[in-house]
Amino acid sequence: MAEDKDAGNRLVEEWQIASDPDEVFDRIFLAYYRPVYYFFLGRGLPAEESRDLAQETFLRVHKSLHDFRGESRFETWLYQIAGNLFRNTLRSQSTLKRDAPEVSLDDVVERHAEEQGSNGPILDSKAAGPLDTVLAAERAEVLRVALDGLPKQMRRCVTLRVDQYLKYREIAELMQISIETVKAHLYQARQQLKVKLADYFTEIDFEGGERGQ
Amino acid sequence: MDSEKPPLAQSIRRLGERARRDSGQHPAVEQLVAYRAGTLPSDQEERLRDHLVLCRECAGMLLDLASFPDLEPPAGVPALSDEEVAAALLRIQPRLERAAHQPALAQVVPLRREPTPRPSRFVYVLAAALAFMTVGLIWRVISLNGTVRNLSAPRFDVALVDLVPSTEVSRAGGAEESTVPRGGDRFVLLLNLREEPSQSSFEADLLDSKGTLLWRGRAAGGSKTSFTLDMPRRLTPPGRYRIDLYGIDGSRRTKLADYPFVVDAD
Repeated sequence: MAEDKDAGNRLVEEWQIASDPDEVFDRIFLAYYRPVYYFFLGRGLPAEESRDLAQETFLRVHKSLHDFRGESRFETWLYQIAGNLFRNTLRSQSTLKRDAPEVSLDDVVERHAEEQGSNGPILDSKAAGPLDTVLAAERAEVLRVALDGLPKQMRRCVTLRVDQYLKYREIAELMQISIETVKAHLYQARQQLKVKLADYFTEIDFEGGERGQ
Repeated sequence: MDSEKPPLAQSIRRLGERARRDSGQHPAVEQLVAYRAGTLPSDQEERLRDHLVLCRECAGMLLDLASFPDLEPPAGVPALSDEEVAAALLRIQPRLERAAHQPALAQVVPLRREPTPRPSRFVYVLAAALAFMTVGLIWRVISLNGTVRNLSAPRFDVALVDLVPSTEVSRAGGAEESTVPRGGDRFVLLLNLREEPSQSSFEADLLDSKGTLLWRGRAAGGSKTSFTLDMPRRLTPPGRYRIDLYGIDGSRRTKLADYPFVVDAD
């Protein structure tokens, strides 16, 4: 499918002039159902809900296909419909959940700490006393200052790599830079952070992240 | 000491977790599309990058957009078979058919106007003639109003011609016929009778030199020995004329006198 980028637009044009548009729509469905279904599935929705939303996406496509003018790629248009459907679903689900009791992550962490026999915040899994708490706060501040000292794009690359476990290719895609630039940013960040944070943290070599390249 | 140091990555994630709470609203899907297409203004582009760093959901959506439609199933999930896709198509078809047969509630159908037939040339000619006649009538009415006003106004120094019957002229030995002087658009003839007639109503005929009747008028009233006749000059171009005066008694018409006269040339 990726080899022919205009295949979707051609199918729509065919649908718009076809004597049997239902047959053309079936082909559109068969060609694009999988990515739409995977899109919802990849957002963490259960299989059944993903199926329903994929079906709803194609119903909307069918309803609006007359209005598609081919100014953008059909695939992008299809993605927008699926994306907006996903966002609307999340919004309505969060409205339903609004009345339910909320539990913040801090509460969970603190409860965990209590279960472990500590009342303070934790930076590692081990129980922490007052001295540890002060040290943890100091470390957090040192880390924040060190990260803020990095150039903006470099800092973004570090966060995406470490916090979101992204591959070089994915960081490059998100930041719209080359993979080489991502690698260079991460290498330089490691050098700078090693100097500033060696006394406070271990395993500063974050370049070989958990998702690899 | 090293054993108490936490791993850097773990602490960075914890900072990220805190910052995520302030990551703001998610951008619209259209903004993600515009960002990828490179059509987002630079300030919005920077804000979106900051958001993407903190928001796993938006970052994931943008990565999916980048690889769409070649998305793979999430890790651990088997790919859909052709049969499963065909089954999904079968499931959607009844809904598609229902949607196709539902009238579009909000659809606006433009009114179809019937083409107006072009009028024939005859209609144009008729309209032009009517317009011409209307203008002519208006002009005529205005003109007549002027005439009426003119006739209604008093006249000063209108010529008065005293006519005697032809029998009296003969008796007088062929005296000259009465002559209407030139000038003015009207003149008044005075018709005299020697004796008072017995009839109570009268008629006068105006005849030219060939005896052709030019005008006839009736006068009602008691018996009298003189009548006046107000004459427009255009009725009597220069020449010889005669007026015959009759007495009317029921259906009987009796000639009382005739009055020859001459209208002078201007």
